[in-house]
Amino acid sequence: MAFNPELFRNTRIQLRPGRMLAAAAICAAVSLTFVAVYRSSGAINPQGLLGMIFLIQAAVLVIGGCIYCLQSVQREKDQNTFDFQRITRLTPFELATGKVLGAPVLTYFVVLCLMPLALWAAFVERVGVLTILEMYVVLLLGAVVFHCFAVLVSMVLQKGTSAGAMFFFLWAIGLTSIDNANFYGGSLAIHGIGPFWPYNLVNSSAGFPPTPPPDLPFVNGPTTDLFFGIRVPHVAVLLVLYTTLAAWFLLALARNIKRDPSVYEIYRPVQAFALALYLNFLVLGFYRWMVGTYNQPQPRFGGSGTWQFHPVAAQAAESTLLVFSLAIFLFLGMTLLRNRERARRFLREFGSSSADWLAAIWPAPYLVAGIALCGVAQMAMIQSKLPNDSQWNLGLGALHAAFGAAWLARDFLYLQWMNLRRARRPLIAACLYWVVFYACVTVVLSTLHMFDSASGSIAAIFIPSAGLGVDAASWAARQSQWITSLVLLVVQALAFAWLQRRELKRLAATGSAAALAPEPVAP
Amino acid sequence: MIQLEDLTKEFDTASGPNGVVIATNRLNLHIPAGEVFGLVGPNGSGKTTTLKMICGLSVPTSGRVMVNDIDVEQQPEQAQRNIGYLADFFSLYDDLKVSEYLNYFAHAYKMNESAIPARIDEVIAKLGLESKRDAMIAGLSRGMKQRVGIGRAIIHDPPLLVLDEPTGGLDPKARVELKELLRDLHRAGKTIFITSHILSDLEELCTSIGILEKGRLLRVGRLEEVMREGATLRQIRVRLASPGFAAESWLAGRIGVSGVVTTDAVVQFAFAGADAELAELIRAMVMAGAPLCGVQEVTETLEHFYSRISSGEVM
Repeated sequence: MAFNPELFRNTRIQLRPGRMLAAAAICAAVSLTFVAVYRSSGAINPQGLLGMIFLIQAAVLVIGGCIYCLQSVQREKDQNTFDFQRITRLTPFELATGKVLGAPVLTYFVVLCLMPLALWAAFVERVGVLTILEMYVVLLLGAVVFHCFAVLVSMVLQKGTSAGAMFFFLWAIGLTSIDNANFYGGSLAIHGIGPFWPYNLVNSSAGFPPTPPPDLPFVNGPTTDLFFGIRVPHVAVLLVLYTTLAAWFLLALARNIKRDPSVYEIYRPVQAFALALYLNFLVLGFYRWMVGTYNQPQPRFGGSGTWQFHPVAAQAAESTLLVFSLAIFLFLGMTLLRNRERARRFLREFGSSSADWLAAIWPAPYLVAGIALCGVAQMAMIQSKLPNDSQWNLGLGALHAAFGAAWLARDFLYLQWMNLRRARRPLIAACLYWVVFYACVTVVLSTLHMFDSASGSIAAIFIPSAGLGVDAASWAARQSQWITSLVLLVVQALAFAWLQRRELKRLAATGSAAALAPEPVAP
Repeated sequence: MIQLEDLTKEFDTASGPNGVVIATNRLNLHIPAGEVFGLVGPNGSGKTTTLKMICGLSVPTSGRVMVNDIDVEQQPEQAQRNIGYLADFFSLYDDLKVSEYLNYFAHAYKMNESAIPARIDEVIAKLGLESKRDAMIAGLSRGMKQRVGIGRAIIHDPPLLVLDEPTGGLDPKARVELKELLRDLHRAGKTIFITSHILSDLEELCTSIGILEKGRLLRVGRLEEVMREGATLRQIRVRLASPGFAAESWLAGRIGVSGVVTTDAVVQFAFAGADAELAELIRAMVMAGAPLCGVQEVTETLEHFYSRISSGEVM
């Protein structure tokens, strides 16, 4: 890593003197314009100058960098130069880091060129050195996380999907930049996790609520989060989060970047499982158990406003945590899906007898175990934090978790079966059918009013989210119906397992039949 | 140097039986060090797939590849230090200079830092690229780009060169130069694995060949052995000074003679027999009054041989 040829190559190509000069000249012109406008008319609010410059730098580094990173591997594949890199003695880690840090090197240079202006603005605004340091370290690390993810996407991207990937990244950057965690509300007691967040450190009009009352330990402040009830600085949270996420993304890159693309495996099942558990742990840690409402002061009567805090409803907490878990395990499931080539190699390695039921339920065991594990942790937390909620009990929690696990198992067994079928892009086709199924069934069931409490158990057979919303009263009144719909959901999952097994057997048979075909006739 | 053991690669296809194509079907092959091995076969016979599996760029569905006794799938980086690879397309980094390009790959192959400048000079000199040393790759001709590609393949001085259609798309002069370069590399002790459609090139370069069809090796071995093994009868061509002699009727019924074809004063026939028997036949022909002015044994070219044994079928 001391000298990374791939990083050096990228730097050499992107930072040719002409290009550097052009970038520096543009940055100098922008900087001079800012200074001139500020000095002459004061049109720019001096309190917002650093924030504005920071946003420009962040946009260049994060958005521009992601565009470069998204092209990094894809472009090499298009130009047929990627194989030559794969065959060198560069370690996968060197190649990955060379691309992550090298592809967006021009954007780093632009940010550097704008630094004098940012430092001048910080001086004018009297912003502390520590704040400046926090802002730029968070920006840098946050950008690296996005760049790692963009190179990962670029590696697995199929031709003709780069425009979609760009939109996905813009959406992801926007989503992570939203900071809706004021100190009294929001499901999670954590501020925005995007690299644009440090803007709030210098922007006095960022909409932060007043400093939380010191006697309320269950609220977080303008720059702090609550992790298992403890106030932690948001900057520290971001640094830990970015470091761990960058490590996970780099692991995925290093595992695959030099592999044959037909047998990419983002993570080993255990690694993917560990990542999913880690994300669940974070969600559980940052979950907000007490929410508050602010009563506005009444000007007629004078006095200041008041805060009222109350614990969240146990069922709402359980549903929210379960939905987070399902979303995380959805990602896990996607990384575990096997394509035909990998299944074929598995069959050739272990023989056609390996196309048994255990192989046919892939990847359901990981998903079910994950939901079960997280469900237990969530229910234990709910019992400890909200012990007096009579509207919720362990049986209800177990039913919700079971519906969640069966739902994921059914849908991923379907996706796995489809992914083993012979088609040009089987997974994309499978996802399309998946979306169409849910859209059609939702319309039909809604029209027939099947989502109400009386017939929710029937709807849950098709759309198991109906099973996640069942309340204590409905559960007590219709236990046998709910259990029947759960059993039917498991039956559907087994049907897809049977289809997968059939596909595996077919794959095993076709390979051996073709291999036993007669030798070509030689004269 | 190269050992293929039951090497199989299956692909999905829209047209094959059961939708599966066996690109290489349990290939077993051993290529000793110092050989120039040519792999011949029609398009889609599995040549490039085999070559990519040797380089570790594609994983076999089953079986294994050993290069210099290293399992390519298990220890790809160790195996790849022994391999120089040239693909059948001219793909270089257009926005680098020739010397920068070679410098990048020298570092990527983890060569000794102090040895890199001298090695770049050596390779540039060997490839005749001195005048293009500081030229941007984008401005080079196709032949020059191919040389830079070879430079990349040999920069780390690997004992094995794997070349996929290296002469394809080159003009005749560049082809001659490339062949000369490959001969030099062979003389320097390199093992070369080469695929080409231009069989005359392979015939000139290779010490051994393999003929691949539908993922299976039809013939493999030393070039002359394979040709001899494939040759059913010797082809003899006799030139007469004047066309008066009735060669066809004289040769008819002679032991070992078949397929007599006469064109003006040239008679060609297949002969099954040793040199002494052929000498006896020629002597008898002269004694019978044939005005012989030349006798020639027609050697079969690789091209003829290949087209004779191959059905030309692809998967």
